[in-house]
Amino acid sequence: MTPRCAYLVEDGYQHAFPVLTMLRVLPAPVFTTGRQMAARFAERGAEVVAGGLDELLAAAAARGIDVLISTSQNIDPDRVRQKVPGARVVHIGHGESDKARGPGSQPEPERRYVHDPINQRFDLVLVATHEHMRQNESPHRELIGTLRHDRVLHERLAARAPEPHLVLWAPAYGRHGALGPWLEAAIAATAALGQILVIHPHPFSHRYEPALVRRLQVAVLGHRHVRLARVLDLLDLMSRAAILLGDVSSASYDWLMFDRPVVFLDHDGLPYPEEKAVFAAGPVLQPGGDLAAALAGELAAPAGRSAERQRVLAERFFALDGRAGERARDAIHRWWRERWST
Amino acid sequence: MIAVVGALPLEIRRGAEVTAAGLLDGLAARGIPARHVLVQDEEALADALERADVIALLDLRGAHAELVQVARIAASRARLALLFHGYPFCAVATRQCQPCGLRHGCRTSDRVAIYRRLAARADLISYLSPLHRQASEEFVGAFPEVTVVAPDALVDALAALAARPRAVHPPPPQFGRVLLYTHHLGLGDSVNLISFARALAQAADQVTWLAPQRHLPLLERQVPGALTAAADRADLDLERTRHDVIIEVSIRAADAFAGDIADDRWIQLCLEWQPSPVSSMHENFLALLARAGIPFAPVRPLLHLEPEAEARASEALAVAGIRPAEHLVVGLHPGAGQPGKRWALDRFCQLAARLREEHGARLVIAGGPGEDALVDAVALPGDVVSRAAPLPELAALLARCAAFVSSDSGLMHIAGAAGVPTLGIYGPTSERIWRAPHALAAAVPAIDESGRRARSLDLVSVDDVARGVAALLERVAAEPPDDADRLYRFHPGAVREPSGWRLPGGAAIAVDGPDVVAEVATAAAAPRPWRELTGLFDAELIEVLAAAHFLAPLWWRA
Repeated sequence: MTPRCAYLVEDGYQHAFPVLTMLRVLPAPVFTTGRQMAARFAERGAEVVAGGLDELLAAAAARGIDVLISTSQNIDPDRVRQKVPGARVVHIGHGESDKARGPGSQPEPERRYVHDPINQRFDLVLVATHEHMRQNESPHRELIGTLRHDRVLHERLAARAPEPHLVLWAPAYGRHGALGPWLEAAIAATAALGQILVIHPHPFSHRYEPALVRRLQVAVLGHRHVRLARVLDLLDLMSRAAILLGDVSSASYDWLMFDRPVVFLDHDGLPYPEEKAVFAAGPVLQPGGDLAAALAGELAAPAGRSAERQRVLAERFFALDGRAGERARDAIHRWWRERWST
Repeated sequence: MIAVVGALPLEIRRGAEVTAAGLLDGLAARGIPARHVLVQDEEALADALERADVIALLDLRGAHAELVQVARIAASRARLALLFHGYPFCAVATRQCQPCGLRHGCRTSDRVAIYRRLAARADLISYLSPLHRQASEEFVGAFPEVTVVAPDALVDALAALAARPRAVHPPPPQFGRVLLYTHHLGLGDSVNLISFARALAQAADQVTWLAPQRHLPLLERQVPGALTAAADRADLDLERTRHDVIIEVSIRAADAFAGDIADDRWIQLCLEWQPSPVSSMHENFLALLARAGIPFAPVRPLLHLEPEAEARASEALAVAGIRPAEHLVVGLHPGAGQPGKRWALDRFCQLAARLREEHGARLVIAGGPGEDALVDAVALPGDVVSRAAPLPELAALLARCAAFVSSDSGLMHIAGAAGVPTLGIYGPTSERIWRAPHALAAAVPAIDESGRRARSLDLVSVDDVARGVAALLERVAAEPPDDADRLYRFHPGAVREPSGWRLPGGAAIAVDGPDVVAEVATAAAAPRPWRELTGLFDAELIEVLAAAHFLAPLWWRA
């Protein structure tokens, strides 16, 4: 017997991809606090329940949901269990939150995700990487691999032909982000090469870095070749891009799945060498470096650094077999069968 | 010609204004043509931007849409001299970070970005105090390519600058066809966006404004040349293909367009994340275009009123026996779109009673859809009542008030945009961002026992608001009226003394030579329309007498 499952999805598009991946192997209703998320999942044929958190939990209780699969560290599992008696709460990460809990959490906004006390309260935490598996202190955790990459493989996103003039920039948030020191240079370099620069700001930037987002809006108004992207899953946009402007964001690692060129933008906000491991996958420019030349050079020989990219990818992730979703589903069923239903 | 541009008249002899006057004297002594230009004087400023060889820019802080004016001056072909006697880059960050809330983002704020552009193309800077130089350079760094001139060498430096050829700039960015997509907005938000839409219309080949259906009767015909249509009925996929730039505005991010955006020049502006917590909403929007390099003359979102609606409004007042030229007409709106922003109904009732008793006010009680019960609770026989009237008629009715009092509501923004001084009662929303679009937009914010800004409107008493209204009415009485037919009279308590005239409160006007004030006193012993007084006497004299309350509208109580 399998449990009745549902997805509990916080508002914000960064929460979409784990559920998009899981729906393939574990179809279940999507309970979301985001109206936009509701519309997007409904477009894809999912059964959707939208509302405030208490409304969602009441609906889950009424439906007799056994397992709520949550993308959120902001929704406390204790509260979920209180409102949905008997339910188990499983966490599946969503990229950036695999590394650090977001801003707004007090008193330590940059507290490492893996040490966050909320992890102890999930009935099961499904972890993407060995590194997080080692550091995470939850006794209820399993290593499943990176859900995001299932989509790349199953939907053959990397096999799609890129648009040769599309340069993608999906920068990190806060001190890690390269937008501050590199924006004008990136605009000038892409203009000089006749390219389209599509910037996908980190989801937190809109709320916590309004002055930075304002710069991007001004850039769109002032330059015909600059776009400000907002997409449900960045992978779809990556599949169209010819080259990435990279930094230490998880998006830079995901890009390696496509085996396409990347130019890394270093800056003063990245003082620790260990956080720049991904920079081994491509050329690294210091502020003031010739970005136009670097872009032109990489695009002229797109396969030139393929070996470096493959090596960094292999070092970072395990089991890139497109079956992370299956492992997640099987883990939930096994825990239900062996631990929770007794 | 050298234009010395500032936000304060030279007559106000404080700080750097003395220097400005001295500067003009110094230039005149060298035979160099120079004149002072008030930034509020659009005609003089436009002329200076077009013809001046040098613009010597003084402090513009406090001027309406300061950043837009700065960007506009930066785009002129004149040589630029910046005369800093304050902290131009960020008025708050250098000394008062606490109320700003931008934190580290202040260094990339509109203010810093726009002033940086100005400084980058300036020919010289003169810091009128070493302290200000230190503070500015600590904040944004020095400008090594700009000559820094000591104040005492300024006249010579300006004279040398005037001999150099004017600057050449690249053309501003081209917007082509712009879609302004403003769904899920409140009424006040739409009103505030009128000035933004007008500025866009100057910069674009064509503007289409998709707005909430119920706002359209007020918005259509407000932006010359723009098309308006209902946002909820639009085919957005089709509109995307028809426009070069899409500017979307929503209150919350969760209300914004939910589909993928990657291929359009599309920006999503969300009112809950304002880029500046110290500027009003419409100024924040104007600053966006200014920062993008679009030079335009900033205006408040003043509403164009329909003649038919004006006629109906005049008739409504006449039926109630109200004559705006003689009576103090005050508008009240006891509602608000969101219940959390609504001041308590019983307090509105008490306030209305005090306005009638203490000021002799005639009241216009207005409400929006679903607010009839609120209106009826406040209104008494003799008041003019407006229940969910069509928006153009409502705007025309409110335009006939001398002042308007409400919570932070859409009607407050309509009143301000209709040219009416407003008093807003603020709890959960910011009185800085959401102040009405009028130069005389006053606020009574909720303050807790410790003196901190609070969210609960329960903290605002009737006394607080009554004091605010009295102060606002005093300011209104001192302003030249929009209505030239308003009746004015000379203050009955004014007395002639050897040196001039004096009021019981202490205000005095010195008379040196022929006593023109006595002539005004005689003419305005019986109330006369403002139009007639300014026809008989110098308009500036009439304005000075009004500012000092020697001359006041008929309804004003000394």
